[in-house]
Amino acid sequence: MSRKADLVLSAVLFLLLAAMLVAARPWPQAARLFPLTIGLPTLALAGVQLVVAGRSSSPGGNLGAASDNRRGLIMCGWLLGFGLAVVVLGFRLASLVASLAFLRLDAREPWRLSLAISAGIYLFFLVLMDVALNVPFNGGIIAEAAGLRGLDDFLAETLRSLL
Amino acid sequence: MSELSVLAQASVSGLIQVFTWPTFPLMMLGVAIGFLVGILPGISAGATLALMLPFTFVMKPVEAFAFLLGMLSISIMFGDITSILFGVPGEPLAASMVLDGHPMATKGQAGRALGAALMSSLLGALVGAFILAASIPIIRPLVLSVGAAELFGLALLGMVFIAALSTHNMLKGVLMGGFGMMLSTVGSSPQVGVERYTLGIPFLFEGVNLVAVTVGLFGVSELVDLYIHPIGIARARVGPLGGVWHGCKDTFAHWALALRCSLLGTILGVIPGIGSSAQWLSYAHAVQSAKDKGGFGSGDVRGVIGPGAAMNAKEGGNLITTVAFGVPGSTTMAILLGAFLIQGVAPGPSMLTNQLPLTMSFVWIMIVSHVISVGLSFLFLQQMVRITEIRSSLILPGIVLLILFGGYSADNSLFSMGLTILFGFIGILMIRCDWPRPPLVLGLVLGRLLERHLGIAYQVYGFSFALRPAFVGIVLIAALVTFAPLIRRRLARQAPEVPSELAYVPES
Repeated sequence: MSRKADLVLSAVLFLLLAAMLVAARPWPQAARLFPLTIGLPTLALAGVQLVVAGRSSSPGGNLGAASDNRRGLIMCGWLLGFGLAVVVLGFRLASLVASLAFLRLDAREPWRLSLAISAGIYLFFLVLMDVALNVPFNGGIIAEAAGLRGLDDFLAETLRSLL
Repeated sequence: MSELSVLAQASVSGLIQVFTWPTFPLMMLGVAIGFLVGILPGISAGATLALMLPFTFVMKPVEAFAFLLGMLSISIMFGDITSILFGVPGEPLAASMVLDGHPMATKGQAGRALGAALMSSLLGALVGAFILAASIPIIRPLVLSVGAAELFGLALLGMVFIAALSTHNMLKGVLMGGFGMMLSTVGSSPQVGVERYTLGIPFLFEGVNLVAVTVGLFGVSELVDLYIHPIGIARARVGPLGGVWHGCKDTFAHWALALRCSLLGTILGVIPGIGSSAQWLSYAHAVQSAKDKGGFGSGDVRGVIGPGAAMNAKEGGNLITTVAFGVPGSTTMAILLGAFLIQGVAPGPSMLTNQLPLTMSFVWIMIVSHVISVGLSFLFLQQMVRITEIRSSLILPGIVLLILFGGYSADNSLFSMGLTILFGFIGILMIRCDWPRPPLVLGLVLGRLLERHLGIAYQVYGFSFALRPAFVGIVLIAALVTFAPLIRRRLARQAPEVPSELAYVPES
C-alpha cells in the first residue's frame, strides 16, 4: 500500500510540476523567470524520483500497525467533523459542541469534566479571540440562513457592552 | 560611529523593547506555553510554533518574536524534565538526557538531575545568546558585502542543507524543497502583477497561505500521532524532589565541561541541519573527555550537564544563520522564518542594519526567558511536574480547534481552513510515504525571498550572475551536499563486504 502510495505521489508531483511549467510559458519574462529557473530542475528530479519509485521493491514508507491506521483514520474523521461543525454552526459554537461530542463519544470522559473543558474552550474563543482580539468569526450556515450574525452572537454582544 | 557603539546602542534598545508593555507579558505567555509543550511528550516545539503563528498577526515584530522565541527556548529546556523523571523525552531532541538522567531519578536523585539539567541549560542558553551577540560585528561586514546573486545562492544552499538532513532520502528532500518554491509562486507576480497558477480562484490571488500550510503540515500529523499514542506519562506520583541545589552545584563543579558543550552546541547550531545532533555529540564528548567513564549510562551527572548545555546553546547558533542569511538551521527555525515574513521583516542585511535592535532583542529574549524560567522552576518544580498526569484526550479537542483556527485566521476565511485540513492530510500521506515536510515549508518561505533576489540579480547582471565566482562556489557546495549520499552509496557498493557482526550500525 505504502509503495503504491509513494508511486502515486511521485507521479502526481511530476504531472503537477509539468503542468506548472507549461502554464508558465506564455507569461512575460519577469513573471516566468523564477518558476522556470526552479521548476525545470525540480521536474527533472521528479522524473528521477518517479523512476526510482517505480523500480523500488522496498515498502517505501512507514507502514503502521492496522490498529494505528484505524485510529489515524478516526482522528482524521474527527478533524473533518470539527471542520464541518465550524462551517455549519460557526467557529465559536462549534468549539463548544464539537469538543463536547469528542470528549463524550470518543474519550468517554465524565459529563462534568467534558462540560467544563468544552466550556473553557468556548470561552477562550468567545472572550479572548472574539471580544478581546476582534477576530471576525464566521456565523455558520444555520445562523446566516436565519439572518443572524451567529447563533450565540447575543453573548458576544453582551460581553462587548459589559467591557 | 564605531561598530561597537552601534552594537551597544542596539543592545540597550533591544533590552528596553523586551521589558516594555505588552512585550514582556507576551514573552511570559510564550514561556508558559513552552513549558507545557516541553513537559508534555508528543507535542513538538515545531508543531506548537506553527500553531502559534496565527496569534502573531495582531502583534508587532518584537512582541511576536518575544512570544515565539520565549516559547521555543523554554520548550527545549523543559523537554528534559520527563526524560529524567520517566525516561520519556518531552521533546524528541531531549532523548539523550534519558541515558544518565533517568538512572539518576531511579536512584532517588531526580532533584539533583533536574537541578543539573536546568542549570546547564541556563548556562548553555547564555553562552549561545552571547555568541549570537558577539558574532554580529563579525558577520555584519560579510553580509553587507554579499550581493543579490550570492543571497539567492545562499538561500538555495540552506534549502539543500535542510533537505539533506531532514531525511535519509536526499532526492525526496530536494524535490519537496523545489515544489515548495513552486507553490510560493502561486498568486500575483511581484514584478509585473501577472496572476500565476490561480485558476481564476480569488482565494489564490494572494498566494498559498504560508500559515495555513504550515499549521496543516505539522499540526495535523502531530494531532493524529497524539491520538494513536496517547500521553499521560506519569506512571506514579512523583515524590519529593530534593537535591535540586546539589545539581546546580554540580554544574558549577563541572563548569569546563558545561562551557565546552555550550560552545560545541553553538557551533553545531550554526551549521544548518546539524543542530539536532548537538545533544548526542555533546554527550559523546562528555563521555570521551571523562577520565572515569564507568558511571556513564547508569546515572552520571556529567551525562546530564553536557547535553543540557549543548541543547540550549545551539539555538543561539541556529539564529545566527537564520537572522543574517535567511538560512534556517532546523525545522523550527524554518517555521520561525515564516514569522519573519508574517511580520514583514526580511532576514538578511536589514537585520544587521536598521533592524539591529530587533536582532539584539532576540539575544535578550533568550537570556531573560531562561533566567526567569529557571528561577520559577526552582520554586515550583514539584507542582510543575504534576502536569505530566494530564491525559491527552483532554487536550485533543483544544488542539483540533487551534489547528482549524490557525487555518481560518490566516485570512479569516473558511477556504484557508480547508487548505489547512487538505495540507494536514497531505502531511500524513507524506509521513507514510517517507517524504520530508520541512523542505516543503522552507521552500514556500524562501521561495518569495529567492524570487526577489533572483529578480534583482537578473536585472543587475543578466544571466551572467550565474558566473559570479561566489555564486558558482555556493552552487558547487549545494551540488556536493545533494550528490554526496549517492556517491557514498556507490562507493560503499564497490567496497568489499564487511561481515555483519563487525559492521558498525549507527543508532537511528
